[in-house]
Amino acid sequence: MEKEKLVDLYRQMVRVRQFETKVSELFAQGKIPGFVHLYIGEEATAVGACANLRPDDYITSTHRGHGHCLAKGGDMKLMMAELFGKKTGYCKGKGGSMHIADMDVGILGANGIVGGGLGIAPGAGLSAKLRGTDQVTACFFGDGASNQTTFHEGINIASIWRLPVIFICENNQYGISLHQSKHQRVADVADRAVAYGIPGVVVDGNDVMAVYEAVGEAVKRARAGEGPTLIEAKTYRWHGHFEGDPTVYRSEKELAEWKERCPILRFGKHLVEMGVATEQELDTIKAEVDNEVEEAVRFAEESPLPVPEEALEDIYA
Amino acid sequence: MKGKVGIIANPASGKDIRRLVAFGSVFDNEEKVSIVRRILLGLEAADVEEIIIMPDTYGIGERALEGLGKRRLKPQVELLEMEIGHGGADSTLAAQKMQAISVAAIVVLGGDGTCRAVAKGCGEVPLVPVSTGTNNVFPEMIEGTIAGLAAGIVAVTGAGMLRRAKKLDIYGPEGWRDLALVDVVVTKETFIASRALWDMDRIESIIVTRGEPDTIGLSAVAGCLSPVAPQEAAGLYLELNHEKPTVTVLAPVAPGLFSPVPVGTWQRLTLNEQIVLGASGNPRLLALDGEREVLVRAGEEARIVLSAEGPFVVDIAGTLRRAQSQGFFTR
Ligand SMILES: Cc1ncc(C[n+]2csc(CCOP(=O)(O)OP(=O)(O)O)c2C)c(N)n1
Ligand SMILES: [Mg+2]
Repeated sequence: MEKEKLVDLYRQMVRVRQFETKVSELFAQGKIPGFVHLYIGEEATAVGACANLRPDDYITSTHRGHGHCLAKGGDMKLMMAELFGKKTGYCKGKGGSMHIADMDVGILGANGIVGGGLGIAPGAGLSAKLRGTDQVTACFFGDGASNQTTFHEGINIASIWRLPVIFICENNQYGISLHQSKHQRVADVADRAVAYGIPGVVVDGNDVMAVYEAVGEAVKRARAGEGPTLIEAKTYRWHGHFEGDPTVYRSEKELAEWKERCPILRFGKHLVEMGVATEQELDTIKAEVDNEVEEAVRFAEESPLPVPEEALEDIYA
Repeated sequence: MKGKVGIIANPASGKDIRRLVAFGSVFDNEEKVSIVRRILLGLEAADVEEIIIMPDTYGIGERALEGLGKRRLKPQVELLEMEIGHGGADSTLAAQKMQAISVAAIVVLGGDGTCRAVAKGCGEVPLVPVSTGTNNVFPEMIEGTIAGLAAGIVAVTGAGMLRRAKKLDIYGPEGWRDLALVDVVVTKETFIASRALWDMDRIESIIVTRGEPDTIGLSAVAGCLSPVAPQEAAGLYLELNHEKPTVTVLAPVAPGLFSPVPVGTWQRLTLNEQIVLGASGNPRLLALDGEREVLVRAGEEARIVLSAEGPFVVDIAGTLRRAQSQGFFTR
């Protein structure tokens, strides 16, 4: 892979990390209303996966969706404004973190319904197939979501119709406070692929190149009309399930071990070792992203709140 | 009742990207559980006294026992006391611990990669490798019942038939770095990433301890050109030449994947002979037994040495035949 693309993978992960680090701070200060679920620690999965996608490809996201949306080309300013509940945000300030969507870049929506995307992605896949395009859909969901009926229904229909969908399970080992070993008897969600007659692969979700390669192969299959693939990325969220979660259900040691496998540090170190980038170049990227995040915050802060008269506009249900 | 046997089953084998880039079979963990269950029953039939199982994130050992229902095994079965969750390093650590408590044999479930991890820790304890991985040359495709029985006979009679495998030791500027049981492939890859190797254009050279026309993986290139048997005191070194090959070898480089491999030169290696990878302006990655593993930095040198001192492996058929001739199965 050429230098520019490698360095961009790094930048994209830093964008997710720094956007969310800022969101975490602002939430603690009471500047962001509602609920936020942070993706910090899992950046390599969204970034490695989306690096294989074209702007006209689709993704379906989750309640933990900032990483997916940024990596797929979502606008950081509009995202931040939405989190602030401002009129300039993606949903005019009425949706918040879990409803960010951007049809122009193929983001079919974050989703507050666990497993919701598993129902939407095959629809997007079917639409591409009926229109005769080679667009693919990447469907992100969690280990917890893999117990929802939509997992079965979505993958089943995608497998019989050979839809161009890549099912990407982000196995961060917990559904809220419940460890995976307590919510399913399998340890590898990828094993479930067998039940649908499609390939299932396990990949290190904290290694951006590993995710990139695996999703790349699945995208090739999908574009070639060979149908869906299930990819399970093993990863870990550093923050609580939601901001404010006291995380009493896991140990400090476990968290520390996963922090050692930080996807960004790891990739940065390798880029430097391989002579792809210098420490300085990486520092410059971090500084540039800092500015980008600051600008997004300024944009959000300076934007107006929606007015009460608009309360019933753009409401569908 | 006599003797102690260890079991190391890798919960992660058989699930990597080779199911996409090649046609690798999927090996779900319940199948491994069921194989371990049969191994336990084989060990019991041989009248082994004690069985020690490596714990793992899936609980292969616990589930194997659980599935026996009310039936109590005669041997005492215990999980090895150790911390888990560190991938291949778990298998190496478990092998070290099993060696320290003097098990007579270790049954290994996994592929070449798992066997490699175990070989790094087992010392001279003989292995009974059972294939559940992908590109497997080292472990045998063998029924668990029989593998357990053979390991049990080794422990109970002390009269197993063993052979010693070869290995390749990799040295860097700071000394010994790693080992491979079957092959070391020098690649132009720059990322370990998904570990597997499927793009022949990225390969510079291949060094094998063994390779026959009926093997799978990169060692098959040797096998299809100039075979080396496991028991021969030799290896093979092949340099690829992508521009002007002397010969193009059609080899099954991964399950279901045949690639024409352009070979420039090849030479047999004698024991203890070394291949020196001279310092290059570009970094290189060495794939060990089919997995990208060791990074050789730009400007760094590496040496790969063929050694006769790999792990001991139980000759299952030979061991059972000898046991039969000694009346082991008749009362
Ligand atoms: C249909 C539905 N059921 C329950 C919930 C409550 N809920 C919110 S997040 C969550 C856990 C999701 O776990 P997982 O899919 O592993 O994703 P993660 O939070 O770990 O990223 C649950 C049960 C919900 N939002 N929607
Ligand atoms: Mg989860």
